[in-house]
Parts: sequence; structure tokens; C-alpha cells
Amino acid sequence: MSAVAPRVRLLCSLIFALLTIACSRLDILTSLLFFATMLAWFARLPVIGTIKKLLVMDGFIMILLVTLPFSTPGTHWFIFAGMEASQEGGRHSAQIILTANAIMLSFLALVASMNPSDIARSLGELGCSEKIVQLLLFTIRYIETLKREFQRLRRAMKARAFRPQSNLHTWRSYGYLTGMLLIRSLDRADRVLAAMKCRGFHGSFPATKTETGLTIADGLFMLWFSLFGLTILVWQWG
Amino acid sequence: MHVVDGVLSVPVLALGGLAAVGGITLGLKQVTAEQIPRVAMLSAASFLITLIHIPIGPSSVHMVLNGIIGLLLGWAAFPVFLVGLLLDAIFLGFGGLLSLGVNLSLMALPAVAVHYLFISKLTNSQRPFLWGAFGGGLAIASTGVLAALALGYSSDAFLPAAKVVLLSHLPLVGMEAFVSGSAIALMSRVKPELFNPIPQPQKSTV
Repeated sequence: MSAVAPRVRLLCSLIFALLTIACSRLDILTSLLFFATMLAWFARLPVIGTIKKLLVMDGFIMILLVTLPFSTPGTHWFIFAGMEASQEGGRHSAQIILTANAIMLSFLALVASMNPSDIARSLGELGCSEKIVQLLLFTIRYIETLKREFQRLRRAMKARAFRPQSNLHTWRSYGYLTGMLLIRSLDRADRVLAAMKCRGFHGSFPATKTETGLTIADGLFMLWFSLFGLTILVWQWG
Repeated sequence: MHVVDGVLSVPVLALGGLAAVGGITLGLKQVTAEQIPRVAMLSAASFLITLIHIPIGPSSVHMVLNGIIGLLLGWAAFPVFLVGLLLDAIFLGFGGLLSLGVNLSLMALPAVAVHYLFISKLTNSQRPFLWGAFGGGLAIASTGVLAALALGYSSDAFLPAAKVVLLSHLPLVGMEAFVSGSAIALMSRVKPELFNPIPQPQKSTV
């Protein structure tokens, strides 16, 4: 999988998402999820970590999934606590959970497994604005630095026996923490800009513009991917 | 916001996507090459801030603080949250790919609105806490309302879930208002020159 060019992977991930959202049949969605699992296998994603990420995402939609069978009118399915659940609602829930997980898993396998700076650069190669690419590259570079700053501030709070609770004192302290972090990050930004100007920064970096041709591996991957896409399209509408 | 793929209807996705593209274009127009480091640094900081979990009763929530970013940046809040959401997806696996536009608009549109409503009040204000709190509270409340609308418009069957989303934002509103107020009060005390749309870096010193 790592032999495939970042922009090809990014593009395939987008196509996969569009394909998945266009399908509504449960058997097709299940095979899309299976295909995404296969991609994850090829990308050698860590099993436990990936399952954890997907479960956290499923947690966000839990409320939706649970209420859906009861709020959709339709054929009787079962009765829980005096409320009638419909088969259509249950089907819709299943459709959402399959779609969401298939798309996220394919994204984790195709895109998130790459080096973040490669993702940023390939966005540029696919026609994203140079500014977005620079923003992403800067953010990725400085997130670790700012995290250390952030942890220093939090350690200082802990050293003064701060314990988060549900009260105004906690909120005020977190407000000051936020304000201080933002101020320090802006100060650092000014120093970074000064250092860049010192080296003749002119609005662009040479590294965001490297573009190499596609290899045979890229071609084979795209061929395999489009064959799969066509199969799904024919299956859904053929 | 973390609305996942497969939930929203196509018109809602399209509307969110259009609003996001428009907002990003306007936002990028405001950001000059020299301001990229400042905007990127704010992206990184706001990403880190969302990792703070604040206890509410037995459970905990994380802050969004889109009001503060909006007050600081105006339309440039769009690219900031775009970067934040991309990093959410890459590092944590949150959110969705096709619902990215909707998620972005849900956070950034209220931020921009808050900027234009309150920034003039905030410059040289004697009560920065008050305006910061108003801005922070209004921003997160609008985000909650917009999220509920996006769900409700996608399908009538989502209405119960939309109500839960709305209710779960209620405790967040008070908390974010207070946290934003404190943060803005501190910032305007320490660095009063901050509350221009994006402060121009000084010339001639470099």
C-alpha cells in the first residue's frame, strides 16, 4: 500500500466515500465495509487501535441509531417500553452504521496511515490552494511544540493543586489556560515569521510543489480500485 | 462537530459543502502569506484546546470555543476549523469525509457571525469578559441549533435525535460562555492589540 502515491490514495478515498454514500442496499454496504477492512489489512493498520477509533465514532451516533427504529413509521418490528419499533427504522440504522464505518475505515487505511505532511502536499497536487497546504504543514509541524507549551501550563496548574470540577473556578482557570496558550502561540508565530523572512520567505515553499509522475504500482492500484467501483455500481443499479 | 457520513441527506450535504467552500475562499482571501504562521498557530492551539475535557456532573464534555477563534479571526475561522477537522479525521478518526463541509459550516458560520456582532464592542472595551462571554455562548448555542436543524431537515425520523443534540448543548453554552469570557478578559489584559480582525505584523522591525 505504501507504494501507491499519496494523491492516488486521497482520490481513491474520496471516490470510495461517494460510492458508499450512493448505495443503499444493505448487502452492498456490507461488501463495501468488507472491502474497507481489506484495505485496512493491506495498510497494516493496528487492529485494536483502529477498532477503538471506530467505536468512538459509533458512540457519537449511538443516540441516533437507538431512536431511529422508534421514530420511523412502518411495519411492526418489536415493542420496547410501550413504543413500537419499525423494520424500516431498523434498516435505516443498519444502513447508517455500515456507511459511516465503511467510509471511516477506508479513510483510515488509505489516507490517515500516511505521513501527515504527505497528505498536505498531495492535497496541493490535487489542486487545493497553496495557502491551505501551507496552513496544514505549519499546523502539523507546530502541534507538537504547542502541545509541550500546553502541558507546561497544565503542569503549573497541577503543581498549584488544581483539580477540574463542575464549578466557576474550573471554568475560569481553563479560560485563562486557553487565553495564555493562544497568546503564546501568536508570539511564537511572530518569531517564526521573523525567522522565515530572515531566510527570504516569499509566499511559497519549494517543498510544497514537488510533483512526480505516477508509477506502475499506482496504475495497478487505480485499475483494481476502478474495477471494484464498477462492480458495485453495476450491482446497485444494473 | 462530528456528524458522520451516511446520516445527512444530499441537499443538506450540498448546502453545507457550498457554505464551506464560500467561507474558505473568503477566509483565505483575508489571510496574507505573512499571516499564515499566526493562523496556523491558532489552528494548532484550537486543536489542542478541544482535547481538554471538563467535568459536568458524572460525565465530561470537550470545549469547542469557536467563539474565541471567530472573535480573533473573522472569516479566517473557516480555514482554521478546516485544518482542525482534517486533523481530527487523520489523528483520531472522528467525523466524516463527505459531511466535512457541513461539520465545518456548523462551527465556522457562528464564529464569523459572532465576530461581526461583537468585535466592535470588544475593541477598547472596559468589559471584555462580558463581550467574550456573549460571543462564546452565542457561538456554541448557534452551533447546536444549526446541528439540530441539519439533522431535522435531513429526515423527520431524526427529530428525537436532533432534540437530544440541542439539549446536550445547553450545559455547554453556559460553560463555554464563562470560559470564553475569562480567556478574552485575560487576552485583552495581556495583549490589548489582539482584537483587530487579524493584527498586521509590524513592518520595518525585521
